[in-house]
Amino acid sequence: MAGLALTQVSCQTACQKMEPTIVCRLPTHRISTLPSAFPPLSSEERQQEWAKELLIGDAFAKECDFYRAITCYKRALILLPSCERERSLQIHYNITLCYYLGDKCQEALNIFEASDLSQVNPDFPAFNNLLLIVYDCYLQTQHEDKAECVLEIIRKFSPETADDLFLYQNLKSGEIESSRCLISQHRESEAMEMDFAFYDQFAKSPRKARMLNAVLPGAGYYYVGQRRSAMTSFIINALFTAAAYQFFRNGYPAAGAITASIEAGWYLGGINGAGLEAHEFNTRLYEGISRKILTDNACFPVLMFETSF
Amino acid sequence: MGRLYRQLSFLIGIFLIFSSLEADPWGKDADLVHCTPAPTQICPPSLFAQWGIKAIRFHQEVISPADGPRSHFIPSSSQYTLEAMRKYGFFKGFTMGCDRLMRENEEEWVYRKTRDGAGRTMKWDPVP
Repeated sequence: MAGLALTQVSCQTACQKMEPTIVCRLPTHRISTLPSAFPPLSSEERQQEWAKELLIGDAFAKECDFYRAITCYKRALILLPSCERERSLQIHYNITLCYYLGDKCQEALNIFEASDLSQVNPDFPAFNNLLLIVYDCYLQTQHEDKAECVLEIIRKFSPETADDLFLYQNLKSGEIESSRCLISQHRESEAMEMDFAFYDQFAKSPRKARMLNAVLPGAGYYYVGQRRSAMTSFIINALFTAAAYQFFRNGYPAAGAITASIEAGWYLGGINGAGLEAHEFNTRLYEGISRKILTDNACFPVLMFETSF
Repeated sequence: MGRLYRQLSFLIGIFLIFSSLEADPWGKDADLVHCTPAPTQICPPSLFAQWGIKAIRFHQEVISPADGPRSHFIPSSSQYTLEAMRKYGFFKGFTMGCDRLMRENEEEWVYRKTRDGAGRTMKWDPVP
């Protein structure tokens, strides 16, 4: 049993790959208060049907009612004369932004790639925001190569933004060491390092958790903070070990063997589970710290927006 | 004659129970009916694993409905063990199921939360 336990402790990978989920809560107040990047509608334009739809769409979008906003923008596109290229770009951009803020990255990319937005130059009023949206959408849809290309374009116009986005990318993908390196080189490194130090301070070692559970069933769970599970594990292991011992001692080898095999499940399961729980604990800790770093320093793309609808 | 008839009835009963287990992949205590499970089948389960899976299905279909669902997790512990056996084989699946049973308590800890069909907050802990 001890041999099996040691095998299990040593065979597990020391550094299991972390898959954190780091999302930014939609800053609804910010969305509704940021100015529009586009020139306001003229009095002549306001008489047109498409312009009314655009205005209603903007109102819905500022309330974060993106479904209705997209419907209005699409109606505006249908009514828009083909000569109004600038307004067409504006509406396509608004639809892309709605899909992005509504967490529909693939739909946002579909609109971007199918429209003239993919051809715009830096003179486009919402060019910076568009790059941020496209970069994040490519990242979220696992198109890392395309995201890299967009990041290079962003770097040409704003190296600081590119650095923030690269840090965002690394933190989001759970690359602890490269994130640590980027944080040390960041302009706000002092505050960021202080936050990141919490991870080093409180992270649990999966190997230690497994080892503790191998030595004393339940100790590994206790180490990662699961006190009830620790108590359950200790009692169950003690009872089954005692029962197996009594069966063997009183001349019931079959019952003893069955009890011992079940006890092996509790014992080895506890060792494996303590390691998994330590990893789970670290992931949650990392998510919380990364979210704080990215929010406090406005490194989430959505927090970098300078304009809205 | 009567004895033969009883034996035949018993065998037919067993056959019907196991046929019904094969027909429906979801246990009645599994609260995931509305969720789409991730494909976890990597290789065909071994003979041990097949027996383990059948035993869990028997629990889900016959034993669990008697006292209702009482898991604090999604997926439930029986479903977790079943998926672990499918993914990792009998022995590791069994030990993972034991680990999950030891964690079956109301302690919130740091698990992600989700809601079941009845709107209750549950701990989200799928097979890794």
